[in-house]
Amino acid sequence: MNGSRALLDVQDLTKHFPVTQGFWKRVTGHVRAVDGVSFQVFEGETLGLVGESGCGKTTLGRCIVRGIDATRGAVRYRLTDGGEVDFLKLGGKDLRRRRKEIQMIFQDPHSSLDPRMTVYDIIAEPLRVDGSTSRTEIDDRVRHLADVVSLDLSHLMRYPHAFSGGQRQRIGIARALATNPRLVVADEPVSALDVSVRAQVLNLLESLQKEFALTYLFVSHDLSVVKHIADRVAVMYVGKIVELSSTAGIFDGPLHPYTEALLSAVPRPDPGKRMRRIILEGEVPNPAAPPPGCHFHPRCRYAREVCRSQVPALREVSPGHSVACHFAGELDLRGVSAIR
Amino acid sequence: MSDEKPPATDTVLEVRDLRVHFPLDEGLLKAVDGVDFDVKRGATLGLVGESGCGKSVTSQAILRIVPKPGITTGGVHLIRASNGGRERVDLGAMDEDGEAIRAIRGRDIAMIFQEPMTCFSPYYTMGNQLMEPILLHRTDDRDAARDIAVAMLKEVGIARPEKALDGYPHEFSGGMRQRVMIAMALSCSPSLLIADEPTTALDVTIQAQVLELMKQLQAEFGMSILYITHDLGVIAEICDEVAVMYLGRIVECAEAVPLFADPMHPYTQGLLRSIPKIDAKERERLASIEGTVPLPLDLPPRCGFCDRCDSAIKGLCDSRNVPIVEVKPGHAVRCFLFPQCVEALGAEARP
Repeated sequence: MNGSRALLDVQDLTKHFPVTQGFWKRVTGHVRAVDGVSFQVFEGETLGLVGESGCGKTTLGRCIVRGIDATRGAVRYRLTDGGEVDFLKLGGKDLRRRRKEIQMIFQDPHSSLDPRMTVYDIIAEPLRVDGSTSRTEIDDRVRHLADVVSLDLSHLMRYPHAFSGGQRQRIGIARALATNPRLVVADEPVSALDVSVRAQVLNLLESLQKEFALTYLFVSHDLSVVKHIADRVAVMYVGKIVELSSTAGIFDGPLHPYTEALLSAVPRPDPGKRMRRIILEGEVPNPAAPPPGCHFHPRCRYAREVCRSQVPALREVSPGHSVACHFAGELDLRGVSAIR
Repeated sequence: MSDEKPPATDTVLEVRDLRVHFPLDEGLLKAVDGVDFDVKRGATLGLVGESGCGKSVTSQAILRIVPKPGITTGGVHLIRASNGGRERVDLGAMDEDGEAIRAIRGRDIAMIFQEPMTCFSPYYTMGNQLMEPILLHRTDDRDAARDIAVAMLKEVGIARPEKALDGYPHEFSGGMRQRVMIAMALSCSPSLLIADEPTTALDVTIQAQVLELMKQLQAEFGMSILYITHDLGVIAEICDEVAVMYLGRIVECAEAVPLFADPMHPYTQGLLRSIPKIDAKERERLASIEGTVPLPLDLPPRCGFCDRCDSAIKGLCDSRNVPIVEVKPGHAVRCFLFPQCVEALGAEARP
């Protein structure tokens, strides 16, 4: 949604995990899970974050909600009154107050709910932590939330094990919405669900966004799902964003060879259109020792000498379309509709 | 083993009225309840369905590795070459722990599993595990077995296979392990490969590599594949024929192109509508199937899908088991919306 204000302005966000060795835990290197990532999330939009396992998309999401502490960088968060704070620098009371506004939905509905708490308590917990909400208010709120995500009110006193995967994910969504957040970081919210249930949860997420004016950072490896739900898409590869554009820009006119290959690898439910895929050689490199230059060059079919030595910067090639490739715009890459 | 008349069509595996029931404290769980299908020679049959539909248990029943307390009934016949002719082997009649079935596992029928992370033992080298079926079925000579293993690893595209043989599973990535597993499964040139969600745990680019590899190896070795997955995209990519399972039964079975172009069963239609399409022109609300798959516990006779079906016929769908009928040549469906299925009920059973 161009023209609207940035709710979140992420600048040079970096997370390095130390690699230790031996009895003394000597630091021998760093896994660069997130390596200098900058982007904005606009108010009311869904920004899709795609990439393969190990590309750092989950770490990025967790750094933003302060689940783990970033190594460096800033997450400028715009307040409702127009002011701005660096979410990463908040502490104590301020952090607790602001945390309510940025919530998270997790991938695995089987392990992200406490098996020893009733559904009622799970949804009420974020409200109780705050301490300023009265019992009757909490009760009203929990019932309202259960209603919003279509959970049966008579089931609120049950434990998570009594629910199916789809219902558990609804509980997780209700919990995330309990504090009236403005931004929801959804980390693979439908990946663990069955096909028919996945559509129910995606539809629910979409109607909740309209109803509560939510902004989503939607982390997923599933390109079809991201295409369906996102307004803009960021593609990550080995800790860096390699392409960022509107959904149509990414899917119809990709400018990075990795995006092109990723799109071509998605199997389509149409046996009449079996196409020539671009089969990427090799695998995602180890983020502890990424290849020099462009991290994608060992697998890139367009790679030239410069790619082996120089790291391409993310630059805006056309309005709203940024790419980190030395030859952005010079290559003739195929989008989704062209791949047949 | 029984020597019966050779089958008319070129079939590798014939499954007739296969049932796997689990007597539990809560009741009788009918995981698989009357499944019929044929796997043709050199072709790929896709078995697609959501979790709990019985697709994995079906594959376990074929190899007789159903976990306890499962009770398997029905006919599973493997048709294999023997002495220049064809031999029909009744797998269903074999002793689960007997020599006969163990001679077939890994040799005539091989299986690859979903979790490349957990199905190798961390204590043994890859070579040790890869050579196990070779030493069991093909040769007693360890050096010869090692040569075969190296050749197979080359076949599945592993760089420096000699070195890989001495590595331990944790040194391999998910995609590499799945390649080694495929090499292991194909090392005794099986006539049927059962692939249970082999790419589900892999990334899309690696999935594309593995699917390509499987197609290429099928063309080279000519084996049949029974491909089990929940992913309709993968099914469309690799399968010649598709059987859609729901609640322990096959609800629709056809060749891939007509099944995707003209799905007949409301469940198949719902599934296809509910997946987001990457090449969709506009963003529209997904059609979802309401409700969830019920547990197949003590089910009364009825269409398993009738609670979630918009076009269910009262008094018919909720009270009778639906027969599966070939309503078009090569396209069978199990649904009372098709008059042929009502007719097949038989005169006395009709309402």
